[in-house]
Amino acid sequence: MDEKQKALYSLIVDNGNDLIAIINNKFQYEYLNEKAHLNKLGYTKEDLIGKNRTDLIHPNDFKVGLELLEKGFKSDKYYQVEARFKHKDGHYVWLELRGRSFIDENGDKKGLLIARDITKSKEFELKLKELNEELEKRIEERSKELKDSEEMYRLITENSTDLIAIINKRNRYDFINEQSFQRILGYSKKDMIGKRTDKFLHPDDLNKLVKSLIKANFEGEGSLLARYKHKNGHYRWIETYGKMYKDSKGNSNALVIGRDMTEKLKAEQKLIESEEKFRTFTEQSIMGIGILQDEIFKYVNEAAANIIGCTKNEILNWGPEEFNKMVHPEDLKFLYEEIKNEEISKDTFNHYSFRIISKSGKVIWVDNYSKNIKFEGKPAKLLTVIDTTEKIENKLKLQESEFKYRVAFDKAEFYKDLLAHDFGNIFQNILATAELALSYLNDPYKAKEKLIGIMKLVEKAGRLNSNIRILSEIDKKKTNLKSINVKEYLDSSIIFVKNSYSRKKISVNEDYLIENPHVQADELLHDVFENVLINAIQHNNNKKIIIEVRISKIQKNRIGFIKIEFIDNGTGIHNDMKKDIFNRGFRENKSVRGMGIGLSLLKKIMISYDGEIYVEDKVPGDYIQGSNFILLFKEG
Amino acid sequence: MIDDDIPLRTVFEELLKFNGFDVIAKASNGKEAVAMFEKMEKKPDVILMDHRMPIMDGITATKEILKIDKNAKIIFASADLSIRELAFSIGASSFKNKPFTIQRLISNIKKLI
Repeated sequence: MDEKQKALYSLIVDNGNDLIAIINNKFQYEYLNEKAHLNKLGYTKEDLIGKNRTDLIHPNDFKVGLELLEKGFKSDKYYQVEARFKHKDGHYVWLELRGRSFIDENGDKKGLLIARDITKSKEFELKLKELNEELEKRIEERSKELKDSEEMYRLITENSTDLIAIINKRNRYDFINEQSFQRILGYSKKDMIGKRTDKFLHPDDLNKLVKSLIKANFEGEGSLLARYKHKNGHYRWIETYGKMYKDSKGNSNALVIGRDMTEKLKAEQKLIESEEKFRTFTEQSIMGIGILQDEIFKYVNEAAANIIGCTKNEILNWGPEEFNKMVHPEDLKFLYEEIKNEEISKDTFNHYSFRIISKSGKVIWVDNYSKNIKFEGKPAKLLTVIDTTEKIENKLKLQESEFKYRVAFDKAEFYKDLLAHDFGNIFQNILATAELALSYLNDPYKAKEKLIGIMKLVEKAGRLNSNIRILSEIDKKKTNLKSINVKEYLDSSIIFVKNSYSRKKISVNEDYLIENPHVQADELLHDVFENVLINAIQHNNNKKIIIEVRISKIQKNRIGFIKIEFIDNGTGIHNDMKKDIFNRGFRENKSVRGMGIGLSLLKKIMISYDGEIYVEDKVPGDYIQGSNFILLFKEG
Repeated sequence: MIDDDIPLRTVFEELLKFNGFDVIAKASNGKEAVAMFEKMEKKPDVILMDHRMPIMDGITATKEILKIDKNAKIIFASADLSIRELAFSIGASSFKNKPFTIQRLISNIKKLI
């Protein structure tokens, strides 16, 4: 090589970007293009010439770097390697190293190294590698996700209780979840894939399918409830929902999900039939049936409406206050008590009767059977009512009739008793006295006495007969009371009685504390006074019969009464019998002072006057001294 | 003699005395009669018992007296024929339906004593 060429090569080498160096077999630098080395690695000639700077190779690249040097020295081939060299300031620079050996002018083997700074491209490459790795990692992850997702969807579809299918644009099955199809319709994939959907449909539902497909085409989705043929030949109701989509190849498909509605529809049908039966039963029932919730009727049947006297609609539109208005005011408190008790006895029927006021104002008795129930998820009451008004009215009529019968029967018994006993005794007395009179035929005086006794007994019988007649008249008639002068009636009664008992010494003393007393009474007042006086005379064993008649005025319950007392010196009445003597009664016969109905008749007459009669002792606590018959009359 | 009708009792007493019988005790109601019978040392040969009386009627008094002395001879005298069977069922010795003659009564008494 001549000097010109040397100078040219020198120019090229010194000014090139690549690092050019010559090393000896000890890997020491013998030459380098300083500019490039300084520029790329920061080293001067002084840093490198005569030195083995394999230490500048990055520890991770040392092996490959050394390999290059060793191989290069062994053969004269070019070897290339990429390795990092340490820059003078510490960082590493990627160099693409090419080297080969050669024999210099001295016959020594040298190595020629040419290095290019590939830091940027390496960084780029590394970055790219990193990105690739990242991408691969992501792809792997994504693939895994997709795989997992696919697995999950596969599991879902395969294990779904619903039918899942993909139908292509030619209306044929591309996919089915075989397990569900087999379970519900009995078909395998082989039976269905590639087949038209309409082949499996009930002929009567084909129209529906067409409409559904048209809708799906326009709107992108559609639904259908139709019968699908089971492999066994029977049909099952399947409700399907389909959505259109495009697959990866751009083909339009439909994802269809179907649910077997056969049992549900059967149950619904049963429910409808049951409801129909219930409706027929409740609407035809003669019992009123209602459902009450929050004091509002949620349901009433025709019978209930008829009982209340309103239309069903009227009742169903009632507010809470209307229910209260319907109940009879006297039964409202009772009803609320019963309702309160119902809260406690939750599962049993509660039975009670109460009155309601119908729309027309009529009072109606109802027998109510009610029970707590759940209606539309909330507590309510089921009411079953029967109109028992007629039954109650009949019962009341029967009771009234029974009462009247009882009264009539008792009266009949009373009069029978009266006739049997009292007249029986009178006749016995007459018979016995007559027998006595016959015994005394030899004693005219005694015989006469007995005959007179018989006459008196006959008179007694006559009085008894008269009293019975008066008693029966009182029972029949309504009393026409008037204002009566007591003194007048008393005076005439005293005269009558004295004449009747002319053989007895009778003294009647008058003690009138008020002048001109008048009472509310009628003509029977004579009988009242006569009975009291006769009673005082008959039950008196004294030689002289003394009767004091006292008239005064008292206030009782803010009502003015005329009090007439008949105080005698007779045999008196024991305390045990003071109340009973006025109760000849229809059931008992406990008359004391003499027989006859005298005192019970007195009581009856006094009651008809709205008055009273009772007896006390003449001397309080000592009944033997005599009696005080007290009569209270309303002032006339 | 047990009867709440005092005049009737008086007439019967007189008639019985006339026919040689002693009326050793008289009562106006069943309760009085039972108390009297219980206290008596010498019991009567025959008891003449009315039915319808206050405080205690003849049927009840008969039962009580028979508890005291089951051998007591009781002649029921009543205008109420309906109690005849009952009177016999509880132990009455005889039943006389009022009105009856003294001769019938005496005949009955003699049969019993």
